[in-house]
Amino acid sequence: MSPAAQATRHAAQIRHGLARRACVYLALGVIALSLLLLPSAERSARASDRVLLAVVVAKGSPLQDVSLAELKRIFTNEGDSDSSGQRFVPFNHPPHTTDRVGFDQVVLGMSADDVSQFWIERKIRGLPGPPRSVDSLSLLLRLIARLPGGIGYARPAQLTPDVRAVRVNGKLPSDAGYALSFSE
Amino acid sequence: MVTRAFGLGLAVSLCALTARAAPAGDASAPATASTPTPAPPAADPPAGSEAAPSAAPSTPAPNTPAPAPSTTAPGTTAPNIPTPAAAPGPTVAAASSEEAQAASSDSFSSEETTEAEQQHKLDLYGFADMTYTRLLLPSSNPWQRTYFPTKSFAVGNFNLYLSSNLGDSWRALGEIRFLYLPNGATTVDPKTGSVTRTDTTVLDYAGFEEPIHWGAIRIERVWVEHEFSSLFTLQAGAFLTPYGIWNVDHGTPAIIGIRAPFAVADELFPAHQTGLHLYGNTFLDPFELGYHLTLSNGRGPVEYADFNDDKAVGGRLYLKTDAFGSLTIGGSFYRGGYYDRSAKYVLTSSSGGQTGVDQQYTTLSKYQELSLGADLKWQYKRWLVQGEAIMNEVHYSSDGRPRALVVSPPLGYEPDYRRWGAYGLFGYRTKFLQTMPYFGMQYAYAPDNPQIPTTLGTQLGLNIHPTPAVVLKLEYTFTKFYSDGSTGLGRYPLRILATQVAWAF
Repeated sequence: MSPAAQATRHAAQIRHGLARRACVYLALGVIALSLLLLPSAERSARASDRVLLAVVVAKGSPLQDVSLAELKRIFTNEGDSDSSGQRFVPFNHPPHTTDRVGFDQVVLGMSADDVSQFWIERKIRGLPGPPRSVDSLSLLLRLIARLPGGIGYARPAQLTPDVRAVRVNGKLPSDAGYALSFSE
Repeated sequence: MVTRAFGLGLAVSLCALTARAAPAGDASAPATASTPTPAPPAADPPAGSEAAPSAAPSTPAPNTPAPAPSTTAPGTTAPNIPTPAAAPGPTVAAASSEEAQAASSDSFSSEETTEAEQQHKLDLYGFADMTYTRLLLPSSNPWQRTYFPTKSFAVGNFNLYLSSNLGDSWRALGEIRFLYLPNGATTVDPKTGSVTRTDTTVLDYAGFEEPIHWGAIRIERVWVEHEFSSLFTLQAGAFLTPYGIWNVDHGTPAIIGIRAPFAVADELFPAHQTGLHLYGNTFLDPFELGYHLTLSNGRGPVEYADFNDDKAVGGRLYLKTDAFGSLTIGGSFYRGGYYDRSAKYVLTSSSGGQTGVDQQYTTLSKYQELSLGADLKWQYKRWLVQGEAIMNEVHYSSDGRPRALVVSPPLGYEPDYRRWGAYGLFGYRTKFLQTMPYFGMQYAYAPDNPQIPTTLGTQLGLNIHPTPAVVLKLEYTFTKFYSDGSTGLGRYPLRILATQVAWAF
């Protein structure tokens, strides 16, 4: 092989080596970049995973707006009534379901264990026990629709024509900054 | 090779990105469903599930077709079959069985049974505890022989609650405590100092006449109440005196420490009363204002008798707010009389010469008392601060002053007295097993009672909740007395180490 050919081959090898290195660096760069980007991607995915819960009453209920503080009183059975004097009858989702856990966290400010302990201690004091929990969503909504003072919560898309959402702290679930929401 | 590695790296990265981003696209929560395309649910999802109709409007229009009612009975198999989308997440998987059980007792799955279950269901629950106490004192210390019980496992409370919603805003509650007592209870003869232990041993006829000890039942409370409105609920029966914090918390799983503070244990307010109890509350956001008023037989030797028809009155006013943590401030009072007497039958003769029988009373003790109390409880995030200060004063009537119990002569009569007590407790609930280290201090001052020296107690303890229904407690108490007292026991500080397991069921 002539020296010129050898030089050409050597140059080709160098180029090939550089290309290989460049590919390796590029791959590492992509991996590093993807790792860097993952958290923000995850964050944006989670942001859209926020669950909204509508506070639900019967269609004919006079209740239009309820504050989170009032909701806390209603769902801790501390006694509250609507403008007509009708005592609220709260209905809960079964414990440890996603919506119940989220509701308890946002409204009562308690974890599932805190809620259990809260009701145990209240019952030992001789106070009324927790609101009734209803196994089936459609039954829950029907009970709210039919029982005077019935109040509960559900995801907005789950509402039936017999019930309606009320404002929470002045906002409906479709409004920005709605308070009764949580991350799944 | 390099190309393959690069491709693999890129593929892995893209796969990871896709996998992590996937939930965003699949988010089932129709948070802002703007397209009002009513779609009745195909099946009834369990309440609280993520399975939602695809795109129902948040506030359905009146002409929106109603979801077709399920043909199967609600709560039966079909509607409750969890779909993959409805499968509970990690939080759900971590569910403790305690609450699941508690909840199932409070849940119903059929509309038809709602009324009946809500109104006439008997709710049975309760609590119990076992305590082991040891004095950290030399064996020669007199407390080792006068403090009871020590170095023993003692089941202290086994209380059963029976609660029922009677419908139309009526509710009933009973709480009974099962006791080993009177077996083992001791009485002291003040004249001789001899201690007599009660023995309830009997032979069990249901077996081979093996010896057993019978115990007793104590009615802690039993009442029925009617709620007229949130401002007025009237309770009739035997109830816990609504004062302060500790007396109402009442059950060992609900209270932080192992032993009640002196001011509560010495009943500066009577712990129980029988009569009427009116209470209510109103909300003036962010405040809750509440009251309790009681009319009862008052303190006395017999729960169901008021020997001199001198009714006791009491009350409590409290203000509560959740504006900065949960803060409750309250004040209580109680005013009543105590009357104890002995009786004997005597023969009487009328003016017509006819004889008959009557009862003649001799007053043993008669006094009027006034109790005042103030309390504060503040829960801020995981911090807890609570305290109570109580005063009780007693004035004997001239014919009702009993003999004083004295260790050595001269014998005298009980003086009028005033006594004070206070305690404060600070705790922080950590996330590890819901453990709360706490520190408490208490003070008791009874200057008119020569037997009881002024007392300062400090407590250091742990309150651990491995589950919401179980509490483990470990408590060290150091009590210092500021004088010997007439018994001389005040010469020796008291060091107690106690541990307790309490559980609700």
